[in-house]
Amino acid sequence: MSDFASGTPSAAWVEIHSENFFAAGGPRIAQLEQVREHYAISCHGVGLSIGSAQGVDADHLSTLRTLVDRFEPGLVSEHLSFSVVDDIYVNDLLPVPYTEEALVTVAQNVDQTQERLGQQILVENPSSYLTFVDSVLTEWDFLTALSQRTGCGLLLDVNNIYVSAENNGFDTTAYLDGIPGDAVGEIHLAGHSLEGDGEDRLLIDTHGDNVADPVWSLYQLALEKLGPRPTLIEWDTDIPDLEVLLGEAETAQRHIDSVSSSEGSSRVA
Amino acid sequence: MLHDLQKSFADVALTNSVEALLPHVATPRGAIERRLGVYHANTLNSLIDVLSAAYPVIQRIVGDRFFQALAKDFITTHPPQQPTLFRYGDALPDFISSFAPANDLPYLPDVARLEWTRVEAYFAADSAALNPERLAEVPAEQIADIKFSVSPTLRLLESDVPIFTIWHVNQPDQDRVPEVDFSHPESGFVLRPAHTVMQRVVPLETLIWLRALTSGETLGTATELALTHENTFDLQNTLRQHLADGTFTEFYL
Repeated sequence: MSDFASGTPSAAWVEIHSENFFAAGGPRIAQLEQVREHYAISCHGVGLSIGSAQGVDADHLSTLRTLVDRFEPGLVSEHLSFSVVDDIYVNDLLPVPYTEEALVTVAQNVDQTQERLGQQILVENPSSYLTFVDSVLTEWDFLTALSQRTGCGLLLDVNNIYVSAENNGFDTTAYLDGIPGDAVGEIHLAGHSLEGDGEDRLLIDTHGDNVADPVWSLYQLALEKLGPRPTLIEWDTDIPDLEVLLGEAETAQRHIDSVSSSEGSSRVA
Repeated sequence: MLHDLQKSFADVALTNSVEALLPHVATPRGAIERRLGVYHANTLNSLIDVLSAAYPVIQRIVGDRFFQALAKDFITTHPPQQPTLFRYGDALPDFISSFAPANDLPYLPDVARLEWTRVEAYFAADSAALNPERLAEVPAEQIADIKFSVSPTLRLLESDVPIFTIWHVNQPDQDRVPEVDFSHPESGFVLRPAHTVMQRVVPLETLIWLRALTSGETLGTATELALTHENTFDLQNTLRQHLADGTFTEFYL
């Protein structure tokens, strides 16, 4: 983040993991203040756990509200997943079954979040390695219904769509056709890794590599269906030199430019 | 019920106990255990990384493999209770005390306490240091009645072992660890005046003085307590030093 504190790299906005800035004070907050002087901020949460049956934590929401008030992010997003159960926090984004019960739960949690924050949030599709017996909806139908019930937007992670589709055997085109395009406020791209072959073949969402070619193709398809959207490259482990990251961002910008009309204004961060 | 499924999934993530979740999963049995293993590995490894970032000195002292085993035991018995992970790991020093394989390193829990106080200081609220010139305006006969507010980043530490020395000789830039007298007690404090965490060893009487001021005693009472412990306690120099460090943020009469 120190590269961005100086305001040198060209980027449309800087996205943070909200919980990393929940401290009362200290160097991280001070650095974010500097970044805020040069770039718009987007708050991307990994801990609110809007999929939790026990509901979202009121203290967590209050702290998030404080962060939002202080840094006035352009976008606030969370994941369609759970990580809190019986007040234990599992540090991973675990998928929920796509049932009516889960839809009611997630919708309540999203309602409560948007009410407390006083603004719309975007909900991101997860990467997953399994499906549930109880699921009665596809992921895109679940997200569509969630958006309709709560007014939330969607953060479309194209790498997650690809990873989940390959692992769980669904059609990525049907996914993109099924998503309400107007609700999509942001797109994420990232790298994944491939392990095993045959029945053991598994794609793992690592955020530690270049965006794979089939994900670029799916991204192009998404842009053609949705139109230009602000796009972020996520790279959280084995982080390369800034030039490599900016190279990926330039590739994404070329895809956006290829579908942009004269009024298209979406940017890559 | 959603809650029961989620409880079963959390058990997979934390301890790789898959039995309760399997009936809920549609993915073919042949592939599922390895896939559930990905969730377990993600959870465990990311939390080990959190502890490793908070306790680099402990990790250096015991080595990577020992630290991984220690962290894994800690994570499964003391999983995080909230999602703000820079607050996760506060219970590790006490856990080390009860961790039998670490029994032959009795100084380890106190060194871990020092590392955790540094984490606390790093994330504590910001505050402006008291301007020393304001103290000069206090009439001489009222000096003893002064009470201070201390920095929210200040942490006081007292140990039967030389925790600050052990911490120092285990920094990455120290490639040859010198002999350390483990029977030598040390007391001191951790403070983050601006953006950098600092620590300093102080004589026990200074720690007594700081502890009294922190708990709201007057400068006069704190100084008497320090002098009772050690009659060479130098109030003027100690006060000047702590005003320069930024230990105090405000004073009251």
